[in-house]
Amino acid sequence: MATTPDNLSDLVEQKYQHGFVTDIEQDIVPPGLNEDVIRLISKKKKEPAFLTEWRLKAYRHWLTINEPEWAHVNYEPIDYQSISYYAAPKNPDDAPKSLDEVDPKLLETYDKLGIPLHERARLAGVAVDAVFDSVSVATTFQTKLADAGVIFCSFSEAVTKHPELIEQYLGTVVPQRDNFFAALNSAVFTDGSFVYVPKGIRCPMELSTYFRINAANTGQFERTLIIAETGSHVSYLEGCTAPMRDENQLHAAVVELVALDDAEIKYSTVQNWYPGDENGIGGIYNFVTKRGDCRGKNSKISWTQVETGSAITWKYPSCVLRGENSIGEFYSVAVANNYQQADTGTKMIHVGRNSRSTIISKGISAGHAQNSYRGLVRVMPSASGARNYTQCDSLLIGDQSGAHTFPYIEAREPTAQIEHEASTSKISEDQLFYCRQRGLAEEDAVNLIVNGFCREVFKELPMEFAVEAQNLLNVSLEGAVG
Amino acid sequence: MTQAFLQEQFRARIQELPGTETMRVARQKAMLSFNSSGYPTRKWEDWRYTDLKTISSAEYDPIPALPSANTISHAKQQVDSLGLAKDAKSIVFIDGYLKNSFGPLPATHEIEIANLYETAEHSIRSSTSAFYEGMPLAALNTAFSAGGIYLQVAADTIITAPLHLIFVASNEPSITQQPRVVINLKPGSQLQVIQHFIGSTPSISWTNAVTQITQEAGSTLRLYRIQDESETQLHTELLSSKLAADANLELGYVDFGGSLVRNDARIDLAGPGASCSLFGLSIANKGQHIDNHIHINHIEPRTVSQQAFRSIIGDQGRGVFNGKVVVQKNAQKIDAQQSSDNLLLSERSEINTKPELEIYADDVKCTHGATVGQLDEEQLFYLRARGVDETAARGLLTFAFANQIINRLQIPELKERVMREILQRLPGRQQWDELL
Amino acid sequence: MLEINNLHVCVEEHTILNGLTLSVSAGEVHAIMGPNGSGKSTLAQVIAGREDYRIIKGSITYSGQDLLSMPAEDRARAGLFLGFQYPIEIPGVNNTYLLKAALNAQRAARGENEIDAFEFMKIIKEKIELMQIPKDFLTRSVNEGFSGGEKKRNEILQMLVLQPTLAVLDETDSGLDVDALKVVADGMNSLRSPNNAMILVTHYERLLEYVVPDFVHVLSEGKIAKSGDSSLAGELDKRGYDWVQSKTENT
Repeated sequence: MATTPDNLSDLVEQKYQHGFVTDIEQDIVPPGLNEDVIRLISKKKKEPAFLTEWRLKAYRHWLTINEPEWAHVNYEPIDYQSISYYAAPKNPDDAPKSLDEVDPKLLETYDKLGIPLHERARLAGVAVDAVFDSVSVATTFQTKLADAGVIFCSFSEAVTKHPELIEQYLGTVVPQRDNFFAALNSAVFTDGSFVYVPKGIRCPMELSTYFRINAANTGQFERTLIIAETGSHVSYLEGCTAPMRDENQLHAAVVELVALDDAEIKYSTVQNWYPGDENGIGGIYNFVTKRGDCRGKNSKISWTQVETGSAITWKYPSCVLRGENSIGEFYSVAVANNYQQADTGTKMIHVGRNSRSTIISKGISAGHAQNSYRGLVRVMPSASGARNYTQCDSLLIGDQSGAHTFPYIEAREPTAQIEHEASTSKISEDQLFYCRQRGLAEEDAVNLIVNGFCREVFKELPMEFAVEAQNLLNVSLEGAVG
Repeated sequence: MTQAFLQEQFRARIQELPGTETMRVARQKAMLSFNSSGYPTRKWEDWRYTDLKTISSAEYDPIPALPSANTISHAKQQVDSLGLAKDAKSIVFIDGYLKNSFGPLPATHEIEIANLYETAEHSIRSSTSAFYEGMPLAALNTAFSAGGIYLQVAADTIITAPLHLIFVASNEPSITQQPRVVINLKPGSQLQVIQHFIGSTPSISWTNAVTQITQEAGSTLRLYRIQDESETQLHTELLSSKLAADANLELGYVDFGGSLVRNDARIDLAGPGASCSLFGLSIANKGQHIDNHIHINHIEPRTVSQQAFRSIIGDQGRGVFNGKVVVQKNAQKIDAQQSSDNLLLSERSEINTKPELEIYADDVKCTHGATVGQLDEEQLFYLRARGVDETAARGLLTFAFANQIINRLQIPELKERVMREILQRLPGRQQWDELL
Repeated sequence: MLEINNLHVCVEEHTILNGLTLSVSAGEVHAIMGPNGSGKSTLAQVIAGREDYRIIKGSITYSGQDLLSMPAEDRARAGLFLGFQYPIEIPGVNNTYLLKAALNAQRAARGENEIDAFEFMKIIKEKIELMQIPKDFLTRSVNEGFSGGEKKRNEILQMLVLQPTLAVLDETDSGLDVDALKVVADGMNSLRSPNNAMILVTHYERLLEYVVPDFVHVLSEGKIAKSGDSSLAGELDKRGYDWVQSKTENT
């Protein structure tokens, strides 16, 4: 979060119960979590009282629940008291002055991923003023949005400028009590995105996290809220293919989407969080709660994701299909290589009549990784005429990894129609040989076949991501074959 | 039955149970195991959808009274009503007790048939803790079982006539019958077994059965299990099977009766080339809850498994299916297929199905599919356009759905009987009987 | 161009090729015939470089190079083409994309630049028409949803685009009706030139009426039992394979 000396001069030095003095002007908050830390965070962000109370309520609940355990995911216990919950923005003096100072291996990866040149500097953390184009593009972007009445800003900004919207919608899709990490996030969330699309408006461009004015490290407890009013339409892109490192190992984000009558939200994610070295040391733990509420009739929410990073991934972007004729979609490619562990999937909860859901999940397991798909399709007695189609495929590369599928299907309505298919196999020798006999080198053949395997998901991605996603897939499987 | 009650009963009455002193020690170990884990609860992943409260909170006699003459003659009537051929080889259990009064055990030089608890070696070998680990109800059966049978077929011997194992639940109210079956097939042998669970108790009783199978190299077993107990009966069972190289198991499940039914099958494909093929049909009406939990473990390479389960859930019925396939790291070149197809007939029907895959090898072919739905509108319309009224059309199509599984029964008389039973349980059958 | 010398090939414990010797020069079309199980497909796969087969003895030289030491893709880039007996489906991988990648791999091996996209589309469209393949082929995945006949025509299409120096066609005629057969045969004939060669592996002599071979060889028990000119095919058709086998037994 960008804070300038002007903001800080408004704040007052305070003494806290636990005996340490927090010098707010210096932005140094010692590690540890207690109510004072939360009050401090809230005060620094100038949040209204209702939000401070909301955070505290979440924190108090979090203290009463236990961290969940999953059979196929193993990790060292997290010490919640050793995390610093308020991260100061990076000192600009420490940043590289130009691309010449950036690790050449990182630049090589950007090249392989096909990241546009003008993005590389910003991604590598080079001081912003060295890159001219992105500032002017961003300004044009914001003008266009303002003309359409679309609000797209940081969550913190929305809290101060549109508190009534925050109060109305926050926590209505993912309640604080939903799960352990949602409770933690609700207590200590730092920043994220806020999008509001007014009635009948089709957002004039794809919203990308690149172009948010205050786009800097959003920190480890990201909170995002997207509201699509009646008849509106928005497409939001999150993340990027560039490998993202962070000193903070734990990332526990919460994303809430609300679609009212006839509204549509398309949420795409390409994530390449640092997965740790070849031996699995030091990667990021990505525990995310993402949920979409199809509140209105004929509303639609689509989740599309390509996940190749993180040491541990735990995420189930879900849809609650409340509105009549509402539609929920989930398209996902999840790659786990080396020692990564992924337990991901989706939940589609059918409540409204004639609700429909489609799930296409493609998992790739290589190296010593464990990749599990965990899905839930639940049809409540009220969801007459509900339809679901699920296709869940896993590709195994090498014989040291594991691929697991756990689809829960719960139906309580006789007119519902649910179809689920899953398959697991390795890349067929016949397919490999066919490509090689046509002159392709083995690694290229593997990339081609793997991309073909993921094609149904890739074609749901916004154009600019699709090409990068394919490159990302190839890069993340480097060395997996042979 | 509460744990406290069971513990007290066990301590007080263990001497009533058959077997040697060593067997008693094995029973005690099993009882300890059950005590430490307790009944499975809904917090256990494998028991998420099935609640055992009706069993754990009620009071049943864990060691029922020996069947009286009256009970035996009543049971004989029930067995006769199965309509088995005069020369059919059958072994009858009444309330979990092995009853020889229906005729001597049909043992021959080719197939050894003995009272399990009179053969110390076999009874003890089948009661080791490795077998009931993680399965508290099987541990309970090991502790309390009062009647068991041991079957062994000699190497390279083919037993052509199917063997019928009939488990009759008598009219005795509030009892637990815990029969135990141990089958051992020597290399190259072949056997067909049909297990019939029947009964007509007006009040609630509990069947907690265990079948343990060891198949040596190249042996073939066809086992069909037909459960047609009374609508108030509680039924839980474990069928555990270990297959050596190139052994083959065909397992068929048909469930009509019971108010709460839980069938666990655990199959270890423990030798290269071993294969198993399972199919099942459950019909759950009026508040019945039928749960099939299958666990197939591909331990060795070139093993093959196939599962096809169908359920028809009527008003307030509940179906549960869990098909877990685990492929161990060295189990390369395996093929595993699963399908779970479910028909919900009423607003208050419910199905929970989870075909699972856990795969650690890579040169594998694993697929599974699950469907939940209703009858095909196009097919319904076709029949109605040919003059069949709606109720009858629905009945016909529902029967056709079930028939895909019934057709897999390879023993003709059994197939016919099952077909008749199913027809009786489907709506509007008078009108469309002739159409078949 | 191709010299196969005393080749012995094994699969698991079975010997399939048992001392096969064959010589193919530029400009020639050779037909390899034989009953099922005689090793015809094995020969085709071994030439293409399939690794499931064990070479016990013998050698294969291709344009002076030791073919057996080259991986499959290098053989392809050196101008070798295998028309598969059972072309595999590759879902999600576009037909056009694969063909372009294959063509570029060959060009790169020859030190040429990648083909211009425009030019490539021209070539492809021309060949698609020639092979009577529907236009939606361009957007479909490799062999996905193709009938048996369409798959074979796709093989020949690829061959026409790649213009190989040595084409080995494994039972390309199987499963084709008369019309499809003619289209496929025309495609094959259009490739014939003094600079390249073709080996047609086939069970029936029907194809050979359209694509007339210069030499016909009969494979029996893992080696060439009899060779002759194109008239040999006609004789086989009349007398059957047993005739050859009995002949070899008597010699």
